[in-house]
Amino acid sequence: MTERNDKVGIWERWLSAFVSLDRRWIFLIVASVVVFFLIVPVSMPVTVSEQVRAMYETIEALPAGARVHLSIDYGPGSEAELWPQHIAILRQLLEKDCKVICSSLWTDGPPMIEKAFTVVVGQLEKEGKKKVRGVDYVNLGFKAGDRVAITKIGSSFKETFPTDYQGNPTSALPIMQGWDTYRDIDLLITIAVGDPGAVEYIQQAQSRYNIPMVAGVTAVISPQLYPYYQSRNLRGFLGGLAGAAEYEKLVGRPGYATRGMFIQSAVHLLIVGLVLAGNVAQFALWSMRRKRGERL
Amino acid sequence: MTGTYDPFVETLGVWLVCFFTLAVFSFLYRDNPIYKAVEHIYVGVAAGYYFYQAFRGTIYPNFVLHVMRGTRAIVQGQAEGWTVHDGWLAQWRWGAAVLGILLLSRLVPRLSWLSRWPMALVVGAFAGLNLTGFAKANFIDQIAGTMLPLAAGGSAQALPFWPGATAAAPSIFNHFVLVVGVVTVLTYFFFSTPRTGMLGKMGTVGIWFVMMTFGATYGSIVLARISLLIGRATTLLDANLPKYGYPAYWCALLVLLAIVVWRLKFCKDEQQP
Amino acid sequence: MRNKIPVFISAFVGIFMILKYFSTYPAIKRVADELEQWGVITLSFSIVLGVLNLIKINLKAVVERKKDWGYKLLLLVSMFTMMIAGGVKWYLEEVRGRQVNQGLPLAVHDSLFDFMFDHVYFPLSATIFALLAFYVASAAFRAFRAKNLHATLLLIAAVIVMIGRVPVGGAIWKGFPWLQEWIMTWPNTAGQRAIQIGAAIGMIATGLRVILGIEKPYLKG
Repeated sequence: MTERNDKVGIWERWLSAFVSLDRRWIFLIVASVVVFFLIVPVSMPVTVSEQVRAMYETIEALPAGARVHLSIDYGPGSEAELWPQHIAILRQLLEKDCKVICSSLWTDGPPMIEKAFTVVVGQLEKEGKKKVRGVDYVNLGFKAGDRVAITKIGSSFKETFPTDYQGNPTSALPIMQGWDTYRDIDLLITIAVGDPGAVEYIQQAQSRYNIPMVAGVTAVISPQLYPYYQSRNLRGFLGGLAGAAEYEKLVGRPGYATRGMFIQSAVHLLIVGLVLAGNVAQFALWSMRRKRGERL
Repeated sequence: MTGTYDPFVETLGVWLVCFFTLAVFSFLYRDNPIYKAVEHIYVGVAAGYYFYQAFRGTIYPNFVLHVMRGTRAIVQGQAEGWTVHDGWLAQWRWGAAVLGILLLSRLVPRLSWLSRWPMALVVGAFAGLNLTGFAKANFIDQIAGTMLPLAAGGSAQALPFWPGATAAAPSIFNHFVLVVGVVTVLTYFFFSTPRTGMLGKMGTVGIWFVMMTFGATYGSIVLARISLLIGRATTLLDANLPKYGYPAYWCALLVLLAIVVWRLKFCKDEQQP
Repeated sequence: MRNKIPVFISAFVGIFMILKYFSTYPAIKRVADELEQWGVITLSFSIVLGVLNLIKINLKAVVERKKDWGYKLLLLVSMFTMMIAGGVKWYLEEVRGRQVNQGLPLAVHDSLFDFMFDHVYFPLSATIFALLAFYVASAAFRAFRAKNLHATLLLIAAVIVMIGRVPVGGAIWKGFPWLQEWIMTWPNTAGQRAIQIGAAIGMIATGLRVILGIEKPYLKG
């Protein structure tokens, strides 16, 4: 052992220590970069992707009074990514005087719906646009059942949701009068974190009833949605905080997502740097060991 | 935080948010009693919350209210637009409650075989729905989406690198990439024949596509996770205001002190992980 | 009987789900609708089952003073507090709400339930997921190696997506956002689509096996 150690040069020892660096140092570096760029904000121009623009244009094309089912299938665990999307989309819908019917397949969803209504309806009220619960928008609350619930919603909203989140009978609400199924819906939107979410809505609602659909999802889910966008099951979609920042640019209200984009950029550069540093150090180490005749 | 609370309650809430956030982050140092405590609080609160939503969101409106309305129709001759006949039909819903209660038999090992009935209902429903849902959206629609033209008259659409062409714009080259990608990856997943000759070569190209797909997914996962961290950091910064008494600083100090005390007092001889 | 009835139930329900997809016949729709309601209610009971199981396991550990029983007691206290807070919210919205709101329920946003959701459940849930950011960074440094062609392709695609998806990518080189969008729209779509077609074939086969009673996952466990 001692003989072997004598042959090992200082560089090799350094590199060896570097590649097996305690992960807590990396944690500290990541945390420092996030905190630094949060305190020192820098703004950068955001480039809008095609599917984000397509989603914006689909919602913009809705006539006043259009019925939109907005399914909020996320909770606090992914709030950082999906809340900015939720707010931007809800505000656009209410500004266009669409009738917004919200529900959730996730237990965490109903309070997120309530929060978003409180924020957006409050903002619009300050600007002189009054929106009334039960007339312009409704929170139908949570429904268990995953894809079974989606199919049930498709054939009857009122049977699936006999009451709204507060307990009002849905059949008595003005917003629910004169329609009941997905065939009466002008646009289906889901803001979703996983299963059940966008894919399940495409399978059980969009492709079944052939209704227009768009989605806002986390960045983890977004690669899965590209095939559905290409096959026109989806008219457009947003992926994660980056998608939300692009949407904020389109609606002309830069907010939380735009603010987060530079920090995101900085951490991404750091991670790419870490990947490169890890690879360079590992290959240098392997090459040194190979030169000494050590088998890897 | 958008609730409308009294100033004192709001301040208390902000302090709790800071404390719980930093207590969870303390796990990054190593597993410790503060993290364990808040982890158990999380599971407890989540379970209580789920119970509330399951009952108030589904069991109460879809079973209790439905059956009560049916019973009222039977007793009164007519209720809320339902006739006696509708009232009797509504009583079918008891079947769902019976199955639901049978599901709870899993808690009693001797009776747990009864839970197979409700499980069979759920499995059967999922099987039927997945069969049609996947067949349409994931099979037919995806194959139809891959039926793309591989020849065109206009040379401007031949290549994706044409000046001004957007990355997502359809072109002969891009269509070719998509069609070749789908066919070769499907070949790669085709396990019932040995991958030799042409099939082997197609499988090799297929795995390149799979690797690029997984790379794109990994990149997206990084994007997602970092966004969540930015979210928590923003919350701490926004909460750390003089009007609340700088809760993030104080809670950080509290968590740090607790960990130092715990390390010095209770795990002197323990090795680092 | 223990094994035959579940096979019959699953076949009956599965067939009605398929029939409803293809048929507009009112009787089929009516039966399928009711079965869907049963599915929705049964699945909500599965949440209740999970909660009762949690109570059973943790209560036993507390009563028998097993290892870490203090934490388990904390879990039970938080759970019951949240349940009681939920009951109070229900009362405030549907019982007291009706008294003050002309017979209609009232939206309440400042109950103990809302407070606990906003200030206990919310930060804990969000931060536990945020922890993963650190582990993703650490894994990128320690495990992401370009050992061969396949790993190199994966690494290149990941780096382009990471850089091209954020504004700094465009600032470094305009080609990064373009390349990122191209990878996502074409090679990624191809790979994902093939995976989805494969999954669809698997799902169709599994669905048929369950409905025909060849596969009986509900008999396990």
